[in-house]
Formats: sequence, C-alpha cells, structure tokens
Amino acid sequence: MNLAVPAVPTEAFIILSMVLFSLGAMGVMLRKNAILVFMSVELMLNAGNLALVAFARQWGEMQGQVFVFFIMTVAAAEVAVGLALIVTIFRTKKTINIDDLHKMEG
Amino acid sequence: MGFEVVLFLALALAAILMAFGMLLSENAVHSALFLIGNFAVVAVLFLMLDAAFIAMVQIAVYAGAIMVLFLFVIMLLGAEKSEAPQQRFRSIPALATTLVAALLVSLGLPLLLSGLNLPEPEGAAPQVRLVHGANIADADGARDLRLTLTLSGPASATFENVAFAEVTNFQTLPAGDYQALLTRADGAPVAPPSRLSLEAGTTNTIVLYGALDLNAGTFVQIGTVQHTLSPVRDNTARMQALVELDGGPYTLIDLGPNRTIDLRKRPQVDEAGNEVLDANGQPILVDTIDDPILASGLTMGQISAPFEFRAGKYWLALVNAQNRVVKVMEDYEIKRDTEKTLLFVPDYEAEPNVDGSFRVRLLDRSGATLTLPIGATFGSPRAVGQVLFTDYLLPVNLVGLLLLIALVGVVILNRPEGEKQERRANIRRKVSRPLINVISQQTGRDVLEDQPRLNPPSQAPSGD
Repeated sequence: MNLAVPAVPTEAFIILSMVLFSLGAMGVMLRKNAILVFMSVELMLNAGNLALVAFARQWGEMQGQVFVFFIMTVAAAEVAVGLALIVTIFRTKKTINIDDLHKMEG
Repeated sequence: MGFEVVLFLALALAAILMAFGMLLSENAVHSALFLIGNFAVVAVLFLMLDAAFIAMVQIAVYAGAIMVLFLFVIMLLGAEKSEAPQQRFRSIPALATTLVAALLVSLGLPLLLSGLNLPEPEGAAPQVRLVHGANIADADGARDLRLTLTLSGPASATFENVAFAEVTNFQTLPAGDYQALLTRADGAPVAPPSRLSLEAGTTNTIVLYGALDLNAGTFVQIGTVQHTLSPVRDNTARMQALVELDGGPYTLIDLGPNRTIDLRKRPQVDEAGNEVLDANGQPILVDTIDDPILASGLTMGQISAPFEFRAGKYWLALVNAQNRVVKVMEDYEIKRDTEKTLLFVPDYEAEPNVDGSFRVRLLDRSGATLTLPIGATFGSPRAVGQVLFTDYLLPVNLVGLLLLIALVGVVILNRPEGEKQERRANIRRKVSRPLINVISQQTGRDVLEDQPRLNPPSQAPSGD
C-alpha cells in the first residue's frame, strides 16, 4: 500500500491521458492511411493504460496494472490480425487509403 | 516545484508533442517513429507510477514488437505516402476537431477546476494479536497461568485464556484508542489498565512480559510490537528482537562458522567515540565481540529497531553484558521475505544452568509462529506475477488462447490468394479429363474445344 501523498497528483496523469486519447481519436478521424488509423488506435489504447496505471497507484491495488497487462496482450493480437487484414486488402485493392475503401463491395 | 513535478511536466509535454508529430507527419514511417517515442515516454511515466513491470512490457512489447510490425508492414506495402489529397468528406477535419475539443473541454474542465474528488484511500483496519511471554506463577506456584486480555474502545475484543508461549490469531479491529485490561481466568486483574493505540493499516503484536508479584507491586507488562511489513531487499528478512529478561543489555550475534563466540581485546570507547584512557594514559582494553552483531543494547521490554539480515541458516546467540552466551539458536533458519519477531523469555521449567541462572527460551520455536510473510514491492514483476498466476489464472489462459486464435487468423488471412481455386481447378481437370476423352471419342469431337461453340454467345439471335 502506498499511502503517502504522491508528488504528482493522479489528476495530472488523467488529464494527460485524456489529451493523448483525444489526439488518438483525431488521428482515427482525420488520417486516410489505414495503417495510421491503426497507429492512432494504439495511441488511444495506451492513453487508457496510462489512466489505469494512475488509478492503480491511487488505490494501491495491483488489479489496475494486471488489467493493463491484459490490454497490451489483446492489443498485440489485434495489431497482428489488423495488419494482416491491411496487407490482404492492399493485395486485392492495391491501396490502403480508407477513402478509396469506403465501399465494401467485393 | 519538486523534481518529480518538473519531470512529469517535461514528459507530458514530450508525449503530447510526439502524439502531434504522429498525427501530422506526412510520412507514415515518421509517424511510426513518433509513436515509438511516445510509447517510450509513457513507459517512463509508468515508472513514475510505481509500475516497473508494466513499463518494461511497454518498451518490449509496444515500442519493440508491435511498432516493428507496423514499420515492417509500412515498408512492405510501400505505404509511406498513400494519402490522396482531400476529395470527399470535406467537413470531417473541422467536425473531428470540434468533437475532440468538446470532449476535452467537457471532461477536462471539471477535472481541472475541482479535481477527481477521489476519497482518500483508507488504510486497512489494524490487525492485532497477543503473545503471552510472561512466565509468571500463580499464588499456588502453578506456572501455567492463563491470562485474558480485553480491549475496549471503538470496538471490543478479547483474547481469552491465553497460555504462556501461546501466539493467538490476528483479530481485526477498527483503528482508534483502546483500553487494555489484563485479567486472570477468575477475573482478577494482573496489570493496571493501560492505553493502547491502534493505527490504520498496521499489524500489531501485543506482548505480555515481566513478572507478577502483587505484594512487591510488580505487574505483567503490556508491550506492543508494530510490524512494518514493508518490502525488504532481495533475499533478506526483517527482524526485531525483544528480550524479556532481567539484566542486560543483551546482544544478538551471529556465531559464524566456528559456532563459538569470538572475543577480541579492543580499546574501550566512550559514547562520543573517544578511547578511554587509564591513569597512565594507556587505552583500557576490554573484551569485545568479534562476531557479526545483529542487534545490541537489548534490555527488558525494549523492542529493538527493525534490522534486515540475509536469509539463510545461522548459529545465532544471545549474549549478556558479560559477553557470556545465554542462548544459542542452532541452525536457525531465516527465510527471505519474512518479518520475524525474536522474543526471548526466561524458561523457569527447564533445568537451570550450572551456575543456577535460568535458561532462556525463544518463543519462535514453541510451535507458535512469530514470523509474518512480507509481500512483494508494489508494481514489481513479482507482485504482478503473483496476482496474474493466482487471482487471474483463467484470464491469463484465455488471453493465451486469444493470441493463438489471432495467430491462426493471420495465417488464414494471408494464405496466398488463388492457391485454393487453382488447386481445385487442377483436381477437377485431373478427374474430368478421362471422362472428356471418352465423350470426345464417342462424339468424334473435342468437347473442351467445342464448348464455346456449343453455346456461342455471339450467335445469340434465334428465332427470326
């Protein structure tokens, strides 16, 4: 248990996490490159992890960090499948610009 | 502003700039490199948040494995600059920025103005147990005198009929000031009521010691040992010595491999550290212990400061002021990550020593344990591992299964295209060729060559 008052309050980490999450969300909405959209999603996940770890310290509980570990594992699986999808799409469509891919026709 | 705050502000600025760099880079490779930098900075932030293991995983898995995969795919597809100039959805950038700004303002402004309003983390309720170390006789001389301790305050608790050398289980009580009343089984008090303060989040052992002689006005004493239970360095244990013996001061030493006390003549020093000189100006030589000293200056009822000692098996000895060993602990095992309370009490039952002095008993060896386990450091790999492989064993296995499924999925997704149809076509040709040959021989025409002619799309007109 870490009951001492930390030098940097939890709020500061939460605000930083919010800003990073927002930047990631903007990346998802604004970028046209599918890989960059994916990278922005990773940024959002990482911002969420930062908030979880900050709360874990606030409460002195390990569960927050364990959850972050699971999120990282799932993110790794997601990236593997997602990039495989992008490679397959690139093979058939010769582009990964999501504006050109907005129709889901075969 | 402290160092940590400055460091946080610098890291936060770096993380946000890196995120902006990722967002605005024209080149996808530059974006990926910015993101790697952002992940590295966030890893340092994890370190600031006491999450060493997560920080390591962040660097190894995120900044390492995942981003290398990203860079690899970018290079493979040659997708560094695949962004076409904006054609459709012209209003999206403005809309997205507005939405994100609205999100930030609506969530961030209250946070900045009033904070999270998180309740102060409450310490766990204090735990308390009782050790009966007072080897006292009843009026009729019977040694085995059971005592009852009643605590009254915010709540009340009793430790009933505790025998000598017994260690009770822990009881959890709300924090606060308590009045402790020690009585015999028949209700007669054996000590004046005393006050006892239990702080939140502490683990306490109440120790009964001393002698009981109502005529002489000596009572059983009540002492409290507060266990720290904070993490210790690797492969060490924390110990506290408590000597409930008359005389003293006593010294606890490690006898070393020769298993005897080593003494050496050394000049006597006073409290200031200066050598004491005799009348002739010569230093006075006294016997001093040459063995490693664990704790010194142990007197009746005084709890030694906690000290850390490497785990292992030792021959320990309690030595009195005359440098005579009063108790030897043979092959005494000190286990890592434990907090031991060494409680020495007089043992009147055993045969006295040759010189008539009583023997000394260490309560730790009486079956009851005064050793408490110490948890791993918060956020350390060991602490995370302990939680992962106890409370979260099923999720860990499921995540492993998920990774396996992802692996299979990637293999299926990226099977060379057309291979399936090609192989099926080959099979069909092999199977159908002999049949076609038979038909060709029967009809005298090549069926495969004929096929377009049998149903010629160009000769569609029929009828008129």
